[in-house]
Amino acid sequence: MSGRVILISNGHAAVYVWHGKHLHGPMEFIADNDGYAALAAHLAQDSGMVTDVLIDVIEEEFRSERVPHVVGRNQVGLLKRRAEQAYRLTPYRMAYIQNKLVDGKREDEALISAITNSDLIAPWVKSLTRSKVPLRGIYSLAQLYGELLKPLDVIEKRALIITRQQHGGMRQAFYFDQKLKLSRLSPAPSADPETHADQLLAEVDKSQRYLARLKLLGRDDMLVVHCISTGPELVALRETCRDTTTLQFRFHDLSTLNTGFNASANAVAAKFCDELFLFLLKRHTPLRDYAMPVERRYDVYRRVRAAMHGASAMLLLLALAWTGMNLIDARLMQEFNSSAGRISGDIKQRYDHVMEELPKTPVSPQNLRAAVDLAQSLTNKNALPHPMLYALSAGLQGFPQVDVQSIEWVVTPDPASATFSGAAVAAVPVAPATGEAPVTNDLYQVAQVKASLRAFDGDYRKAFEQVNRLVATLKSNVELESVRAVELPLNTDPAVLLQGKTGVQEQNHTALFILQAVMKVKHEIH
Amino acid sequence: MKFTDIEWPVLRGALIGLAVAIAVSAATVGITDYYVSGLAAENSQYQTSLNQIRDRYVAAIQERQMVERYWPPYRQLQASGFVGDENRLNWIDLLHLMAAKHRVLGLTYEVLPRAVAAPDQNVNTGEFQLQGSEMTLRLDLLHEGNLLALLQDLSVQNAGIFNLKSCAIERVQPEITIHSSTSNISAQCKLIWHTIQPPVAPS
Repeated sequence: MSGRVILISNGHAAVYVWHGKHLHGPMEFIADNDGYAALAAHLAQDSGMVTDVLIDVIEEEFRSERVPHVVGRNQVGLLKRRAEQAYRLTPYRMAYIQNKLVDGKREDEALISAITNSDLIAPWVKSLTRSKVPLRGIYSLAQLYGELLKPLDVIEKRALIITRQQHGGMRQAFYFDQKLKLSRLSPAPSADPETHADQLLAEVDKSQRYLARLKLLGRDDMLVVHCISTGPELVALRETCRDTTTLQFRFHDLSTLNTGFNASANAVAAKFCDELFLFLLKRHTPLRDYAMPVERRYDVYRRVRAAMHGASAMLLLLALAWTGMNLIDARLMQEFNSSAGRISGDIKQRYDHVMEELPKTPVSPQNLRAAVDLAQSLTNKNALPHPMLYALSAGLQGFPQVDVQSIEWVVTPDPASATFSGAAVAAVPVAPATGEAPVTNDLYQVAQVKASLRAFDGDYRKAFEQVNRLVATLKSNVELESVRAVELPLNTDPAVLLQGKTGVQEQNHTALFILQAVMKVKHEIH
Repeated sequence: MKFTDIEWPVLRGALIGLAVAIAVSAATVGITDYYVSGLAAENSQYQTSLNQIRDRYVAAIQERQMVERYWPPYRQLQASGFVGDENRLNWIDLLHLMAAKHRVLGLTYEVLPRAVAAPDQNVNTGEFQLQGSEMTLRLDLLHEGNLLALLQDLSVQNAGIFNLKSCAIERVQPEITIHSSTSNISAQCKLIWHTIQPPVAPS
């Protein structure tokens, strides 16, 4: 993926291009009208490439301030106002919270920074907007020093990191408790390593005094200085810079720095840290920058265009998928329709064949079945008196003195309501009487036997005993549901009139009695 | 950024591309949807007609099975006189035959006019109407066994379906004397002859 970075220093701009992991450039431009026009012409060759601007100028100021602890949009508004108050004359300013709820108070610590001379940037940015180049952001080199804390193993409370850029000069970034407090750039024109080392010592001394004035460094506080350099310049620094009671130096070779950055093959560029910062910017682009929204509009347009292109592609893909599914559905339905017609024809043929084979009947098949079922039901309901008469005959075999005069036999679904000639005598209920008609389809045959005892001598007690024995014998037949004596030889019911006579000459005694037996009709099972 | 500040020419290509994508997508989806919905309607018709012919075929198979099972017994019922008009002459002939066979000394009968009868609740009568005619038999017999044999024989004849309702047997002689020409037993039985009337075929 390609990207462009314009590194702007005082009076100079260098254009670099990333193609994947490879950095190309620089294409350099002088800060005058010709330079701005040349840059615009250069950018016009590939105006669609996303571009970052990296600033490394002397006129950048930093200020730490305590602000009330607020959150959300209030915090954004507050920081914006504080930045405007602090740097009224430049539009290139920003502020962010570094520490929250400092010293247990409802106050946050904010870092406010600005490019105080906007004329250093504005002409270059105009060249970009004139060429409609998508500007992603305007970043400061000072913002990138945070990425060096870990590779340099900066663990000290107060640390100063010093780098040298080819055109910018010597930049120092002061960190207090791992938080950037200020950064300053000073010219470093000397190519001689020893002279440069002396100049570095002088600049460190200035920084010490400046930090002391800002009360960021006490008189006895130790300041650890991390110098990033390479080659003879690094050797000279090691020899020149000696530790003191308040200063300690750490030296880091740019070519072996553990940042993932590979030093340039260009011998001149390899002596400076420009490409290191370009690499750090690519790897970790800061969240905040100095660019105004109007300067970033072509990047916004680029994103909108990309979103619209993406939406178009997505839409076309969805439409393609939808159309594909529709075509598959259509194919399946066409196959079904053709096969359904064929199957319908086959079934119709078979149906016609079945209907042709069906015998002509006077009534519908359902009525055939109804007639047969009805006949079966009536046949099942038919009962003959044979089982009842056989049961009675078997019971009477042991009683030769009993003379049967008549037997009445009826079939009824309700034995309790069975009636016989002469008198309506209810048979014994075979189930608990509920006052309602039975709901089952059971049928019962009820027999009423009228009989008398032969050679009755008027001993009613003996006659009662014989009748009761007969009833008991009949009851022992399991096929009989119930047996009872409806009338006994003598009616001893206290509610009725009892008459009779007795004497030695009285011989014409009769002992009539009536029995009733109930048997369930057994249906044939088909 | 206000709406009026937007530099539309910068976005023109993307907007045209999006518009073309929307148009092409809508057109392809719309056309294929229309085509598929037409096929779906056709498909639904085919499915319905297939289901209908399948149901009719299954019903025909079931009817055939029903006819195979119930047509022969139905014809027997027709032959026995259960289906159709009563054949009272057959009943009388049968009674004469039975009386002679079982040594009935005297037989009188009485058949009441035919009336509509109520079948069991759990029996489906279809389109038939169940009818019944009550017959009363009075018999003079030598022995009650003759009555039982006659009733048994009557029930197995293919002369229709009847239900015996009641029988009353009374001894008319003080002592039973077999081989006599005088009856010892008199009996009276009531039975219902059942018939069904098939539905009137539509003219």
